[in-house]
Amino acid sequence: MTINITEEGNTITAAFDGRLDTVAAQQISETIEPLMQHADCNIILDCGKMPFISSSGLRIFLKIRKEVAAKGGKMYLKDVCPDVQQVFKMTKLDDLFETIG
Amino acid sequence: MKDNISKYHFAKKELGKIAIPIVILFVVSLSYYLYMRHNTLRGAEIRSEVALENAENMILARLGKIQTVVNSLQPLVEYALEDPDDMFDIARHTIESSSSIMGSGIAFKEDYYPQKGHWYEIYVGHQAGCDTLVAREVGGPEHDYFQMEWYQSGLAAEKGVWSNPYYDNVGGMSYMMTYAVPIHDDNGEVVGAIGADITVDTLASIVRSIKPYPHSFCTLTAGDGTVLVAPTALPKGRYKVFTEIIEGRNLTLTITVPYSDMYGRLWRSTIFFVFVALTGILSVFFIAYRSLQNLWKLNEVRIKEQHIEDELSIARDIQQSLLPTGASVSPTKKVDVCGLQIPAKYVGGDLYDYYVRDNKLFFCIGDVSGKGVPAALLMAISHSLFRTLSAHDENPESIMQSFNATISDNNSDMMFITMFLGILNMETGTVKYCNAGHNPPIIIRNGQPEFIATKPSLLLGVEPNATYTSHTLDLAPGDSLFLYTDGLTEAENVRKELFGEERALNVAAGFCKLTAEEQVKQMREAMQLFVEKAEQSDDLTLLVVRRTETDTNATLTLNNNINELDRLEPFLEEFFQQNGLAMESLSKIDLALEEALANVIMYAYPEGTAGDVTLSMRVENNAICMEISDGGVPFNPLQQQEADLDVPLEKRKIGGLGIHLIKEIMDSVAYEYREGKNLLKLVLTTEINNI
Repeated sequence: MTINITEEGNTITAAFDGRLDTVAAQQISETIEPLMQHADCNIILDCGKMPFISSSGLRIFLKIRKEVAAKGGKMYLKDVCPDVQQVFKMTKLDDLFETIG
Repeated sequence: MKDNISKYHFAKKELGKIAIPIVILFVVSLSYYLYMRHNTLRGAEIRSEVALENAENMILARLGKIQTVVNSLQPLVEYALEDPDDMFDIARHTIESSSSIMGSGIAFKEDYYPQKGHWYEIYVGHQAGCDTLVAREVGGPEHDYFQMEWYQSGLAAEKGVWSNPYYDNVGGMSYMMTYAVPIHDDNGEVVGAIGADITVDTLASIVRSIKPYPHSFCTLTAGDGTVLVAPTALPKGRYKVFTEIIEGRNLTLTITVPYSDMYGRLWRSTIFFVFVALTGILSVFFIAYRSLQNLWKLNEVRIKEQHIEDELSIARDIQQSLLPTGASVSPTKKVDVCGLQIPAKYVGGDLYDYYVRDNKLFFCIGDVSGKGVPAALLMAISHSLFRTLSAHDENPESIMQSFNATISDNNSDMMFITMFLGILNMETGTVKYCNAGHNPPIIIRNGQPEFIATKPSLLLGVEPNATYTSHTLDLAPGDSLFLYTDGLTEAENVRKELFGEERALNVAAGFCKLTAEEQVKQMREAMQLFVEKAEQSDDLTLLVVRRTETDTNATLTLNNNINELDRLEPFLEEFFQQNGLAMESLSKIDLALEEALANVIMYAYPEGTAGDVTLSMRVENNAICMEISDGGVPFNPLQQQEADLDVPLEKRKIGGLGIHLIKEIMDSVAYEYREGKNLLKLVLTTEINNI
């Protein structure tokens, strides 16, 4: 799993590439640190190249969501594939995550 | 070169140890010699001193006798002074008193007897060469005794005195010494002297009789340096001189002892000692050299052995690498194969091999005659022959025939191979096999073991034109073929009993539900239990071919390391492909299993302890059945509190999502704790599309 973080004005885009499974979730906790620090901005999580997410992956998303809610930013998910969307549904998180694209 | 250097160091070290006793031996020899030499010298000194004292005493005794005679006659002379002619009688009396006295003279001062003239000395002595005594007056100008030493010293002496030896040309006509005593008149005035002579020859016989050593000699020297007694010829070589001065007699006695007399015995004993010591040292040298040689040889042999061992160890690795691994037969296929090979030496002559081609399992087990390296070489050849010949041939008897023809060619050593070769159709379970003189395998049907009874063909390698016959048998699902080499049946225990076919059959009776690996393990254990501590004498090879039950179990075992989860997805993909499952459900199953496995990996074992988790999967009646088992702390994930998804996110606790997902995805989830293991059973019945 690789994450490519780009900053454009008040918007930070994090593009996830690969499976966000339990192993990957453990590895990226440091990589997403800039997102947590800029939780007052608009944060877009680009899931276009992320075919899989586990509960650990969900927790990463939820952490970012919590931080954003606290600091007054906004979090959007972009290009979520059906399998991942299915997981969101099963965990009833689909309403919590605003999706774009 | 390196060997030479180490040999040199080795020799230096070992010879250094030998040098010590040699040095000690030499020091002891030298000390012995010096000590004995000192003792001998001391002994010679004492011996010579004693001899000299003896001689001195004998001389003193001889001289003392004369002194006594003269001293006792002196008053007689003084008494008879009035008549000068009486002196003749006294002198004669003197001579007759001792055989040692050669002559005696009585001499008076100038003009003492006016009637006798200026000189008056009478002398009585033995005529040279005869016994008769001659008495006469000898004083006169031709014999001016006033000038003679004996007379002068006699007058001057208080009592008596010995003269130095002198040659008497008138009286004795020989070398002599005179004892002189002064004569006094009634007034106490000295008026003359009486003397008695002793010839030096008389003393010489005493001196010559002193002989403490065979070649020693004694000399007598006067106070004025005149040598009185000496040998006619001096001995050759070095010698030691001992001296004794006879006080008051002006005489010096010496004994001369040649070294050859004094040290002769010491030399002989020292030479003997050195000879013995040298012999000893040489023997030590010889023995040491021989043992060093042996040590060198041993060392060389050891180095060579090490080389051989290293190479054999490599050979063993190579041989072991020829053996197939379980990976060549996928566990999800319809057969389960397991082999085991333990060479008695580094390398062995047993072989087994198997591989899958065209949905058929080709397998063989064989035993090359002999053991060790020669057998191993033929084993390697056989291994590649099996692979080569079976690559384009599915007929065991023609494979065997070609095999036999190749091996028989140029087989001058008459090495031979027994081999059982089989080809299992994995779909139908039909086994075509050919047995070239190998031990009959055990077939286990419905749990009932029995030996394959068909008559074996000739073993390979002895008869190029031998014919081989194939046979067929059927393996139903759950049936096994148990193949082995004689290393099993002929395994000996310490009481020289053989493991035997009977025992093998009995063990196989318990194989019914066991996997191939478990069968191999059980047989091995039974055999080890039987042989106890006896040394393995022959190569041992076991090979089990088992048709699995209709539905194949696929298992995946992960260590409790989170990174192991990466192996899950490829495993699932393979399982889906092999079982013809629709890929749509793969992602869901992947998610559910990942959640369940991650749970075990992270929480089942206490931190820092190693453990594993096994996932087994099978397809049964259009359902995927999964079982996750681990030996960690008992933990029922189903009883844990699930995430309450209806609570607003901000108030939710993060966690509990995993088990929720599992339950959401699976149709049935069950947990039990059995025999020390957590078992989580998952079933997914929906959305299965067999293609």
